[in-house]
Amino acid sequence: MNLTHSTMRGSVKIVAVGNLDLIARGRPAEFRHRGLTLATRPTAMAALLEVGRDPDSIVLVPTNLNDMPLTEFVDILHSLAHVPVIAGIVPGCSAQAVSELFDHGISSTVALPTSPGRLADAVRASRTPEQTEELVIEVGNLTLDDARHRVTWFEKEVTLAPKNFEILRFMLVAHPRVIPLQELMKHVGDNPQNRAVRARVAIGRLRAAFSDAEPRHDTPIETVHRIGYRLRL
Amino acid sequence: MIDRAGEKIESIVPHEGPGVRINARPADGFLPDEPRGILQCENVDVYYGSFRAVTGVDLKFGLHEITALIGPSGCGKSTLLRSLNRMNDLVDGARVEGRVLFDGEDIYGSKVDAIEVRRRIGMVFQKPNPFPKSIYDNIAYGPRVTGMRVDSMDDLVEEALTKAALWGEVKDKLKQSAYSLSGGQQQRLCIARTIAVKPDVILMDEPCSALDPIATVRIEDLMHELRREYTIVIVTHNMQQAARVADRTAFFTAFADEGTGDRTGVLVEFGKTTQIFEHPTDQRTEDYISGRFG
Repeated sequence: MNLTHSTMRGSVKIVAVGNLDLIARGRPAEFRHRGLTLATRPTAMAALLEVGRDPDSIVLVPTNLNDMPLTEFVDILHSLAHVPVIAGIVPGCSAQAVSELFDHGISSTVALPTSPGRLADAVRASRTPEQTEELVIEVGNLTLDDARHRVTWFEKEVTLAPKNFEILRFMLVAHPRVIPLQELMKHVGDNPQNRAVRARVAIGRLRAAFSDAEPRHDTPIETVHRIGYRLRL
Repeated sequence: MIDRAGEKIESIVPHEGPGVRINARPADGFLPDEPRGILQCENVDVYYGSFRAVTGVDLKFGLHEITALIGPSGCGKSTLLRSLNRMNDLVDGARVEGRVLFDGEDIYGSKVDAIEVRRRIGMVFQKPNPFPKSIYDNIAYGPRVTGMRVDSMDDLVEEALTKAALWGEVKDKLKQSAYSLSGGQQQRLCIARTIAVKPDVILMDEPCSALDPIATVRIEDLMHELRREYTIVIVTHNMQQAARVADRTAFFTAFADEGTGDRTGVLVEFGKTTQIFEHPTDQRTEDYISGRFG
């Protein structure tokens, strides 16, 4: 595979400093599958320019950045646009250096070169709960790709109506907590009529969709009697 | 004649003289904790030959209430429904044990007229089944064959069609075939036909399952209207429909006989619909209403 400075499109844009083959391993489709757009830039300055164009980006910077002091680069990013920064740990990086980076406000770390899954975890860790709405959420054998409105269960596509997709996303974000029925009722739309039954029916439709997609496995939704529901993943 | 609490009802045992129908309940929205039962099952078992389809049902259907019977296929909902107006008498080998009381009288009593039971406790089926007659004659048929004394058949037909929310759509084509109506209109015609013989209770066996969503909404609206004058029992597989229309809900399931493997229906839980869907007391109810099985 020819890895060059390029863009692999997904829903969350990550501007990475350095050469793609030192930063990431895995096929572009695997990054896309997790909703990640990985744009590599050769220098810190080029990365800053890219962030200026797209301030909603997340920056991935290797700890061996060589054209600027790393902590200074992190400070500039924060002062410019409060851009979340993930430190890409390269072999030989000391714990003290990492600690110092956290003091300067990096959001999370990931070992380089990173797999799509680990980068998705690092991205998730770097974002606020509100921002996680945009992410690919992967727990156990269940993956929810928000941007593509796509859910897979044991790698089988699960077909869901928008409302049921929203409820599943809510349950995934809350995982492994038990979600009381009353809380679930808030997510079944604006109509105040029959919220309880609509929540129950939505759970039923989720179960049916999981069963249809992968009948060999029990559906991941567990009833907690008289309380609510949780995902068993 | 039975007189209770200011309300009167004709006996289902053949008798002399005209009766007075149960008074309509004011639509005050109040739902008592316990249903004021007009129709009641006491330890009812229903058999088809040696096969016990339903067992041990104790259930009260409240006056001017809508009660939904829900549960997975094969749990005996329709079987029980059909036993509430002796419709199962028409099935070879079918028999009922226990008691089904209509205003205190056992409808399976030796002196009870099954035809009169079915007039007082009408039934609407899953698929609209109008007679191959005109719209007018579909309504007039029941009163004619049961010998109802009717001052004006035209008035009765108009009244029944009006109550079934169909008059406005058919008043100019009463002599046309009932088959010329849409599926939803045919089902409302069947409801009008049931109403025409002045029942107290209307049994509905999945009345909307063959209808489109718009026709379904019209039937559900109609049920709300009819509740003011009639007691309604509905079998439905549609949980949202049960929640929309029913004051109370009874959940049934089936258990398998270890020896024969035969599945027998049993009543699991009965209560106000809000309680059944928000706070079911039995795990099986909660599992069913949220699609765990069924």
